[in-house]
Amino acid sequence: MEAASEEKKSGRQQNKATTRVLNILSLFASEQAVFGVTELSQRLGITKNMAYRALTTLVDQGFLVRDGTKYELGYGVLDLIFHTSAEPDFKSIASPHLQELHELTGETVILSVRMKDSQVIIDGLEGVGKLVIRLKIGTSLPLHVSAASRAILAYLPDEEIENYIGRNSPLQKFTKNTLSSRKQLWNDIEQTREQGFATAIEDYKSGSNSIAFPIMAENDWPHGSITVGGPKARFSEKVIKQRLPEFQEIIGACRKWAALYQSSMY
Amino acid sequence: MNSKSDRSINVSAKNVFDVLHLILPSEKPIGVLEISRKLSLPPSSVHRALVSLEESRFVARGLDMSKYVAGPMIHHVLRAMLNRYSVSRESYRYLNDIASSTGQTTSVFVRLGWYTLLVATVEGPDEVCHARSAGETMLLHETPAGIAILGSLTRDEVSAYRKFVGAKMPEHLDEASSRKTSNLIAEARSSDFVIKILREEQKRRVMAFPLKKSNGSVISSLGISGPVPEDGTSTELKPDSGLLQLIGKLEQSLEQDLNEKGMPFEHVNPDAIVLKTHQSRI
Repeated sequence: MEAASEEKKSGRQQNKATTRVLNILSLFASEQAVFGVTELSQRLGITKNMAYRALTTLVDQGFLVRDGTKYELGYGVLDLIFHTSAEPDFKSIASPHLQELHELTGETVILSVRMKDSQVIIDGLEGVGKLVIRLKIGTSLPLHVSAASRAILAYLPDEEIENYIGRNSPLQKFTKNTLSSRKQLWNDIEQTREQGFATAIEDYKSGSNSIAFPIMAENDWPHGSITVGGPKARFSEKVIKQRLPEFQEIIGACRKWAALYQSSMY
Repeated sequence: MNSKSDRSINVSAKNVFDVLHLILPSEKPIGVLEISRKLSLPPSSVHRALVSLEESRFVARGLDMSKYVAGPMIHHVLRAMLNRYSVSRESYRYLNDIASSTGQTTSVFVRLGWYTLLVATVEGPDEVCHARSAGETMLLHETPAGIAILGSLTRDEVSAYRKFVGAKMPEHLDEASSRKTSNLIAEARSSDFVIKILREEQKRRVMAFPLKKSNGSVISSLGISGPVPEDGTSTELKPDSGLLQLIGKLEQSLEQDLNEKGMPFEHVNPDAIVLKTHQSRI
């Protein structure tokens, strides 16, 4: 009985240690950085001995190379590619993060990209419950309407935004809350840039609220946005504010992975 | 932690990487029992390895949920390594234009030891295009892009290359391919800008241009590949002045980048770089 429990404990320990090795390899990828033992142990809250052992395992496998006291990704990583498979696109990079947001909130989660003067929904998950925001993949909206659109618009260069307003004036109004004047739109853009996200309170359809985060691409242009939206009775401004740190953490992870592919996506 | 548990953790890390290396080349999802049989490991060890790999997204469940396939982290780690090559980022600025002007898949290769490494690729906009993946590695003599680089090496270096392949992977350079390679290297040395290899059996046409610094030394190479036209009217893609101009701009940009940032692993002895999984695909 005791032996079985010891074995179980040792198995758990081994699993923890191997997961740590894999997570350290992931960290080298997500940060695209060089780490030393001390820095890594501080970063992960583990002992230097643990960090050193994990790094040595990865060097032995050829995945990392050591240069003095620093470690970085090595050419052994190339042994991980076996057959032709395309690099992940924006949709597959964002997919696990959409799932996380959906599990966290139970609300509708949307992935959008810019297409000329519009924002187009390319993926998402519909909310759970009797009252939800319907997910309609392929739907497009003008860049001044909805949080998803304005999270993209706000991060375009000023000149591009002015050109958009010029081309689309008078700006189409969908509800009484739609931002349809140049001044209203610029105020919202400044606020979005300051906060790092856009919000929309019933600006497209009555009864729905949403928050959207831009995902940046090469040259700091927005590649698209991720939105969480729900009926205002459930997804109130207060709920959005409470959930904000969790949203930001998930979006931060998505941005890191998307940044890896910045140059190759275009 | 004592040395006994150190050893058991090393063994379990090795199991994890063995399991990963078995799943990656498999074209179909693979299950615990099959992995256990192939690696002669107890199913419980395989299961533990899979838990760690799935948790860190190096593997994912296949459609039937009981078997495993490569996970997204594989691509992320590979892309992060390729991002160490700043020439990769620089190349993308021009590859889109070159792919648009030729309609064909356009890729930049660098030398890594005795291999070519594809660091950037843009698929051609034509309906049928040559699908390539960044991260592909091939022995230098196996592709036009590699021949373009071999053509720039000294005779001693070419001899060292032959010795390396002869010692490590003799099956990749038999007498016939060795003769063919000599001819191609000679052609590459005499040609100013292009090498052509036609693989009729694969109906694919590949061209390679050595990308040179202003002093004439080769930095890397550019490959342009696509299907051979069905009507047989043109089996050669002649580089026009527009294409040569784009290639010139790419060369300038890469030279500047290389002067500033250098190339990863350029000081590693080429004989020390042996890739287990290089692919001979062109």
